[in-house]
Amino acid sequence: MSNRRIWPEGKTCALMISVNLDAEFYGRIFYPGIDVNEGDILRLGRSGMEYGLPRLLKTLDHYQVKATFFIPGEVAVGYPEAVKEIAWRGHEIGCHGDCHELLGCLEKEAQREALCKGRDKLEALTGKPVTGFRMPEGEINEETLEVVKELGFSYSSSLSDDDIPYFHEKTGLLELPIHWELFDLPYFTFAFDPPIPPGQARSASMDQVLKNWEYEWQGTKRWGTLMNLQLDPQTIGEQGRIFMLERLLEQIQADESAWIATGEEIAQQMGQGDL
Amino acid sequence: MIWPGKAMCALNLGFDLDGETIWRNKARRLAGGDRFIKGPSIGAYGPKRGAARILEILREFDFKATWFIPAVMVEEHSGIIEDILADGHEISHHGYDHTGRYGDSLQEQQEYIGRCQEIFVKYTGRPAYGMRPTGALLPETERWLYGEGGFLYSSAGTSGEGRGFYEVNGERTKGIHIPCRDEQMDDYVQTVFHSYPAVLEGMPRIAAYDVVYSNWIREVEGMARNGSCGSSAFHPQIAGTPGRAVMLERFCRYLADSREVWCATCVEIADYYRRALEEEKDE
Repeated sequence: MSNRRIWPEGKTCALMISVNLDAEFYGRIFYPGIDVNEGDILRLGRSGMEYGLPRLLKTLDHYQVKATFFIPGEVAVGYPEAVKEIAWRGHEIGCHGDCHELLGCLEKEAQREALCKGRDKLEALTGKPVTGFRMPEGEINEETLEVVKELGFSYSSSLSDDDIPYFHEKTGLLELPIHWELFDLPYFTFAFDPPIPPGQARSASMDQVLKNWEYEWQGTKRWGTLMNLQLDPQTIGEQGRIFMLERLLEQIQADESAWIATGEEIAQQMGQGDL
Repeated sequence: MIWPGKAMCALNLGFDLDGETIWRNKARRLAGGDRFIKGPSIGAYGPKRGAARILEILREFDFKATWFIPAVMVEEHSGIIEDILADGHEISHHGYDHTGRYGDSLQEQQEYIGRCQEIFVKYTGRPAYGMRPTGALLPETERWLYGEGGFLYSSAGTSGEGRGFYEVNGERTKGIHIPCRDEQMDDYVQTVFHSYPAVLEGMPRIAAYDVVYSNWIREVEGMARNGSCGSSAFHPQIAGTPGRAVMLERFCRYLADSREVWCATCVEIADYYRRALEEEKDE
């Protein structure tokens, strides 16, 4: 096997459940810098926080798994009780910018300011150190990773050039790679005004997306990789869609080959040189 | 047309090892884009991980494929190029950096293509035998390519159903046409996604893998009905990721079990087709 590695606890592959808690800032995935405080974007963002998040938290508890929530600082300001609840339930909280900035278009100092602000808001609210970083969807540059490293984050989970954790060559920063096909939101989110996605493609078939994820799970097992699932409560927490996560977790837990870990736990293992 | 082993069609497993090129080209149009690393990281997966996983799958079925590689990727990722060659695969022409800029005259286009050939010779020991262009070629360039330029086949994307000798404006060349139907046989078209810039335009959903897979099967069935040859445009940055590699492996198993399909490199298909057409002419 080209890249099989030994995961902890005798496991042969790994699952990280990450949640991008963008609330209304998800609009900036499609339109960087757009005003998210109005219209369809605000309505869908709020509805994800109001209905999707409680359902997702309940499901994670039911399957006794811990997730990593990457949260823009301003979401913690807008929804403080929700973010406290996530922390209280024992999930990890990571930095996702302050207002879902397009970091790759900012000067290095402005990037640093955005990450500091975002992180400080999360830490002030939860009283816990924030050690993980995921780029707000958009673009970043090498300076972003330098800032992440300089600010003392222990890992980034942003890039797509691998399927197992690795140390970034120039900064030495740990990277827990992600891939779009394992992110629920781009398959399903839809809005009329502004058009989301911009071409207004129809939402995907839930059964078929679950099937894609089952292919990914088969591949994860076959090649011993890290399956880094990305969820948005707006999407997976919706009443019709939550079954997708239930079915997937049932399969993965029944199989017993995956080490299910948060970003922080993976980073700790990597730090100990165990992976 | 009957293919070797009494097969009804000839399929080339074609892999476009584009790596970072297509992502750099898209990002360059945006402010600050020449320093972006997220999009390019999606492309880098191909040479870094995907290609090796595909080689592993191809070894399992003893299939030889054709890898269309921009010359700059040959320069930047020479390690995986060596691995591809060591497994007996063909490496073919795919421009320098996946831009459409081939030049404005016959001479400029000849020079551009020639510069890539020099890189192939330097890194692989020989020039490419065939061509999957990434931009517009002038008719006179195409006539030269498949004539005195010595290229044996054309396997361009979105290239119709033309059979036998490749034609330029209705005029036959000495090259063989191995069509590539991107609507069906290009996994990037079906399942790539990125938000900034929007990839694909309008951000259509990532397709269902099962639907993508069954389209591959239907296309091969059509090739068999038609007795034709064709190539895929699978991308290691897509096809080599864990879930889609499972799908590729399933497709390879289907091909290995099928008596209707002769799986070969483009240069093998071109060579066989040319000899068959010449024998027909002699009879």
